[in-house]
Amino acid sequence: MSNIILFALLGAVFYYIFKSYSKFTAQYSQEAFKDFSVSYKSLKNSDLGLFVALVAKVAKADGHVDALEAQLIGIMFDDIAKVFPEPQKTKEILKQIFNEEKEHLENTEQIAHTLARALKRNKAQQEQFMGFLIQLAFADGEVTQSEENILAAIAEAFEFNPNKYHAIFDQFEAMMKNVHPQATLDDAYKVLGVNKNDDMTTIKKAYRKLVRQYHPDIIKSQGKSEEYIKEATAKTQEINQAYEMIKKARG
Amino acid sequence: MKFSLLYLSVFINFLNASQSGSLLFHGNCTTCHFETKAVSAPSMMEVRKRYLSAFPEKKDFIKQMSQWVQKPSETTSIMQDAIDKYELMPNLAFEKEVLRDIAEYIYETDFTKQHDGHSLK
Repeated sequence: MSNIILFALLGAVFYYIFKSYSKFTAQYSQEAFKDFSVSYKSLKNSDLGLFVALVAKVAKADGHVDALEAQLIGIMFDDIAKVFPEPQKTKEILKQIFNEEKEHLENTEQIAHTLARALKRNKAQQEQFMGFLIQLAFADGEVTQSEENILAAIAEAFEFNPNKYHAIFDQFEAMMKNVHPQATLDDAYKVLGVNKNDDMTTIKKAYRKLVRQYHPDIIKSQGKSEEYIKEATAKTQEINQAYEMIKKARG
Repeated sequence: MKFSLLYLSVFINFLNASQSGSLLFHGNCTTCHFETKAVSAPSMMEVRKRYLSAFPEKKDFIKQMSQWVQKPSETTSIMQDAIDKYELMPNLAFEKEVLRDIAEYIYETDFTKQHDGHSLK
């Protein structure tokens, strides 16, 4: 008899723990945003809106937004917009948040602090966001001092474990060293799955399609291992370098 | 069904292209070229108007604008007065393909109206 009571009690305790845990590991899904009313204000103050603001700071830190960055950010808007009730409207607003926030850097820490508070209980989400921001800084090949400063300021606001931060950073650095341009132009065409005689429009389309297919997806990567972002980033770099090589060869 | 799928994929491709052009434009050009007011360089509204009157065809517009920005020169400029006022635009070493995407976005965008990247609050 006492065993049954003990089990019931244990069951209740586990149930309670599970319930309170799931509350703090909110996943970004259509279900989660079912009742969200999409407006400039509501989006701007949501975790994903704050994240987009930080993306803008990192993207513009080195003074310009380059082609691959624009491509990745555009796809990211699509990924995020998909989980909201009005995707098209959401995307427009995300773009506006991005365009406004890239103009100035002085509120970076404040935004990072606000996002850190929103994600206080969710270390996994924080790590995922941090991973994406670092990946973005590497998108144009190298991380400039200004990009590094911004990433460091965001990491500090997140109270991100410094060892973990440096580990992610080093991994990307090592990975970038390992992504070599294709050995020959023929290989570059092969990576993009196009013909030597195809015109630039066809090649650009193939490139965009592949980037879309292999890019690291902020929504889908939830709960996946770090391997996912790393692999997706490596593949994206490979596709980009093949495209760069063809562009250069054609002048 | 086949046709509608084809249209859809063409449409999506168009959306992707303009999205990238929009981000590239707002991420780079607007540092100097404000959309509707001239500060340290002619406004985008003005540049677009001048290019449209010189090159009304989309194909020519994109070709001429991207070519000029890739290698700015006083002799080939269609806006001599702007050069007198603000000096020649510096060579920014953007790639041809990037400049074409941006020029396409400029051709498609009426900066005086609500547009991509500037929705209502």
